[in-house]
Amino acid sequence: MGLLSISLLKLARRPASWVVLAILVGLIIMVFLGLAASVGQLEGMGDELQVRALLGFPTAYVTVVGFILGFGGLLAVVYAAAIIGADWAWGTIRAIVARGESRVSYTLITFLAIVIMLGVGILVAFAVGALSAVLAAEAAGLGSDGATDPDTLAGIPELLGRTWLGVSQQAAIGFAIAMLFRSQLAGIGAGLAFYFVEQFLVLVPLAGEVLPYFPFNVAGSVVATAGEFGDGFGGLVPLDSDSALLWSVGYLVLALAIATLGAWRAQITQ
Amino acid sequence: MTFAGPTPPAAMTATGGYALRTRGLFKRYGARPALQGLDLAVPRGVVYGFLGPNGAGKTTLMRLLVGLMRPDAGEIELLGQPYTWRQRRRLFEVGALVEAPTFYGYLSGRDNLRALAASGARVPGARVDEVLSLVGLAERGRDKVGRYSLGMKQRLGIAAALLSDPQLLLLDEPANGLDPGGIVAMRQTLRALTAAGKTVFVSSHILPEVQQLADVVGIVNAGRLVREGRLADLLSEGGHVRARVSQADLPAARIALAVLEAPTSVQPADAVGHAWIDVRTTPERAAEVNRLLAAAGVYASAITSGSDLESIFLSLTAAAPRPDAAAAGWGERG
Repeated sequence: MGLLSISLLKLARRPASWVVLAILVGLIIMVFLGLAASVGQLEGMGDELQVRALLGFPTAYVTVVGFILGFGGLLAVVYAAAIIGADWAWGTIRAIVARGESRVSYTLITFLAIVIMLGVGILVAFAVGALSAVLAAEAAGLGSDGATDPDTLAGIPELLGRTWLGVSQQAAIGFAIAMLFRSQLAGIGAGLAFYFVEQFLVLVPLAGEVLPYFPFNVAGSVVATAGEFGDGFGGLVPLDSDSALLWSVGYLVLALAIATLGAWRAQITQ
Repeated sequence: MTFAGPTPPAAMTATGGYALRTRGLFKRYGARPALQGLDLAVPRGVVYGFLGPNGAGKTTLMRLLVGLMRPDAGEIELLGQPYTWRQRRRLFEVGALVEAPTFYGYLSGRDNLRALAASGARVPGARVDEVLSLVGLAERGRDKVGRYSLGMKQRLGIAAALLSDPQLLLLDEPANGLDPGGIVAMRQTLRALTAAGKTVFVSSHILPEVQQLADVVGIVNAGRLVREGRLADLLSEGGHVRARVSQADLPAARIALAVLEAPTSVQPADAVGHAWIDVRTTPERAAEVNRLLAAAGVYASAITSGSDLESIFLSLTAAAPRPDAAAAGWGERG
């Protein structure tokens, strides 16, 4: 069995993988239930139009993807940090290195396995989210005819691909931090702190000029119309999705370079 | 009390050369030196017992040998070839259990070994079951490691070290947590490996275990090798006689024992004013020591003698606990 296959097996057998997915799927279902319920209550108010826009197809697909990029990205930071951080905290990396395995290969293959698991998670979450959106739209009396629009369906692979990149980029940040600190908790804590500090920096005067280029904002901008959820906060204007794509790739590569350099140089004393 | 050490296998002399050598190995943790010019020579085909008090540098050496850390200075030679931490492929011929065994608790023992087998030197799948059987875990191989006892984890750690059928096996406290049956089985396994020309390097605190197992021992203290040689040679010269006398009688006792022309040392006096005077001589001279003391008007309240690895270890590392205070020997040492 190759290192990638065994890394996937480790992740598939790890309860954390399924707990994280369950949290994401659960949140998405609850959000759509909430949106469906709120349509009736907001009747005649300005917010009703916005909620209808979120639930109506084909926009609802982007709504689902927006949640995955937002909640899912945050969970991906935690997940990736937990996976690589555990190798240090539990000392399992010691046995791997002592067998003569390349630290760089191990780091990259572990991240690749995480990315594959994230891909599976995104597919599951999108499927559940789309189904929830259909049910919510029907319950709200909006109908779901647009869900099967051929043009919309043709665009879903790209939508999911961009989402996968955005979520993976966010995971790479948690991964790199956990690798540098050689700790699960440090990776999770610092990753989340980084995420929230970036979100609240929008309140700092003039920060809006540079914030769209910050890693988590970049990740949230890789899908063109996902801005219904994330942008606009504090007047922040997101990057256009194609620029965000390039920046996202850049951050992903940078985070992996930092992680592999950290692994390569580390003196393993745990 | 003397234990009969095992006869060095023929491989020790027949194979020749060294499985492991270090020259002038230095390593610091910040300002604290861990290794201070360690020179080690481990012949091929033997069980080498690497002994030292806590903090002497044993684990640091193990970490350097398997590339977990880089030395500040010095050279390492593995299986006859120079080795640096960048030459990771050299470790394909080395199996190691460094510190406590570490596994994924949510995976079975078998899957943990499969995960390790996929890293470093690739190992055929059948080898996983082979080593599981070798360490007596064949029937529990599919259980999650999280449910294993300490001893079972230790067995799995040894199995992991044996995965790639290594020429050199590095084991850190291999008997840790094993039951008596497990210790005997481990000893037999390691003996079988050396009989096949392989080399086993065992770092341990359990001196009687090392005494039963090792052909050659190295004793390290404060990051330096203080003694290295065949266990049989060490035991033949490592006898001692200890006498417990009152603090007031110490000067007279030292004068009386000077005629033995053997090195003596004194352990600090206990709460009731008695000290142990330690004479490095053969155990057979215990009666003579008693007679000399009595002739000088010094009456010993206790006399012990022996020629075991423990007394050699204690005399070389100056790590002897006060005989009257069992807890006095505890604590980290430099």
